[in-house]
Amino acid sequence: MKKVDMLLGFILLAICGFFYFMISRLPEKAILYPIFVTTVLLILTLIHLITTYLKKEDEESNAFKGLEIKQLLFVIATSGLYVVLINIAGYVTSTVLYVLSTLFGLKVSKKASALISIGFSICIYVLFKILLKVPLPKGFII
Amino acid sequence: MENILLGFANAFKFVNLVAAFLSVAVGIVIGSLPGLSAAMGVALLIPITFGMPAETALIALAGVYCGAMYGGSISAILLHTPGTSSAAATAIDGYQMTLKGQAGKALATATIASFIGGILSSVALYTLSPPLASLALKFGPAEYFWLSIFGLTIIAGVSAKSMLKGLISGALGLVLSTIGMDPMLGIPRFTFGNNGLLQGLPFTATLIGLFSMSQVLLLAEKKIKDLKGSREVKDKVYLSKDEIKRITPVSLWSAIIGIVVGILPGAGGTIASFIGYNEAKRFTKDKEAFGTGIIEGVAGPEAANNAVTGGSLIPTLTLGIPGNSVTAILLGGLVIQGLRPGPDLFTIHGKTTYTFFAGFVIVNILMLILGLFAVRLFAKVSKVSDAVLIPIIFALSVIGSYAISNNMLDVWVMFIFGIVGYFVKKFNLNSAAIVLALILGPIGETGLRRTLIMHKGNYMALFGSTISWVLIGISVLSLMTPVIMSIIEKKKSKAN
Repeated sequence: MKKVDMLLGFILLAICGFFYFMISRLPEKAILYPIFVTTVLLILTLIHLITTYLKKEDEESNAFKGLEIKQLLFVIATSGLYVVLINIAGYVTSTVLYVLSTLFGLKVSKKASALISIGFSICIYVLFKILLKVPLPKGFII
Repeated sequence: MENILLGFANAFKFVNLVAAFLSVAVGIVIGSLPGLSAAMGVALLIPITFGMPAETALIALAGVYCGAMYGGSISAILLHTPGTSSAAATAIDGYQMTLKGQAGKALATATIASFIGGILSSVALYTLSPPLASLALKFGPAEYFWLSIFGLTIIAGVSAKSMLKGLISGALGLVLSTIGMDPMLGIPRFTFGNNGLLQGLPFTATLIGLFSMSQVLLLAEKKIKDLKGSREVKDKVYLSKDEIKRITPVSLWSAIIGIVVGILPGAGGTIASFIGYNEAKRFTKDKEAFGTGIIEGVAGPEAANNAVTGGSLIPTLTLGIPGNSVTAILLGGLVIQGLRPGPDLFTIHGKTTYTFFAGFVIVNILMLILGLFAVRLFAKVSKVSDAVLIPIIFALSVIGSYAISNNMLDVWVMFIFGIVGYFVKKFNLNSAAIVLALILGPIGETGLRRTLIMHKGNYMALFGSTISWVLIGISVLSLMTPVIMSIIEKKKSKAN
């Protein structure tokens, strides 16, 4: 976990750096509070980095070991594409395509994938659009 | 008394009953699915309840909370995999009972004990909330500043695996809470010229990202498991009079513990259920039988974790300090409905609040009925594969984040915070502390700056009242708790 914790420290440092940079572009009268909270985060991050650096290595508890990375990236990619597609094809059409492709990619049978994707999308449309009157994202189809 | 009766009259309206019934059922399903959490369910439900009357919305949110807390026991008993972390202690004796062919009896025990815990916690909600809320009347801007600091220190200090990481999570949330318009000067901060961010990060979308989409990614990183091999419920879901007599005292005592743990910010259902399990063991004569599958071992943790529900709502509704991630999200739901925690909830908005309290009682009764008569159905649902849950939860997260302001920007915020939330969990940071900081950040900032403006920049004004000093004292104490506890543990182990 030591490596992972060091990585966390550097990510937090980058976040602090980003916010300091953004603060420098604010008018002077508005910077006091953002500087205060960012500095609190910076101090805590530095304490974290120092204590982690002084800790002994323990490889066993690495939270990023033994993951199904391909599967995870596949889900992130299809989910991102789905959000892009919504504005083009509309919520219902893109949901059918998204659920179908994800289920298929996760090795669910073709028949079950088709049934679930169409059944789920119809349920969502009826429940949200017709019964609860919650607006769905629009596109060129539905 | 009049308010209480009026609350029940309102809660029995058809729409509220339907909301209570459906939300409990949805909550039980979410709770029973390993990998899905009450926080996820409540976060997804907030946008759906947006257009409902405030009391109906709150009843629905409480229904999911209570249902999920109970539902976790179903997979703990049948699969030896707790549906929610709060049901981990239930799995110890619950699964042993299943192996002995007593799954029905274990489920009936979990249902009845959860009901006792939930109902007793509603009594606490009725009796403890109004006096605590009236305390908030004495709060000025300086006190609100210290209250937000207290809320952050306690959740960061107690709930994270490492206190430093808890504090880092809180500080990160505070930094994120500065995105949006400066509350005093009206100057946009870190909005990149985007008007959608002027009001700050879209709260519901951020929540759905942190709690729902992150869950999708956590399911996706693991090998998809086949749950078809789980055990069936072969016996009746039923307890005899003698058995009910056996579990009642254990459940009542564990429920009281659950309420107290629930009120303490930062502790929550998991801690309560383990204390409940240990207390049940202490209470029962046949201590050796614990772990081999006895009903007291199921009743203790289940009464305790469901008692947390009402307990944790008390500081949330009265002082605006949510003790765990679910109540942090519920607080967001409250604010979206235009309600502010504090004394107003019991005076100006008394009708809504007491209807919600009555709804909370009804939710627990419906949970008992559904648990006793439909648990076999829920048991079947708990076997749905993660492969199916992954796209379905994400598609629901998209609708949920879009629905509040009909804006695709919110969907992208949800997507980004989903990935952030995944790493938050992987790095052992604390999502609840981040959410709490997002809520408390603006309150603290406004309190701080208002105090300074009112006293012409004199920082000593922050230390002007007794309440401020009490809040500072308990904030320091909450930060010291882990240190004190470890000293006591060391002394104990030396003595042994």
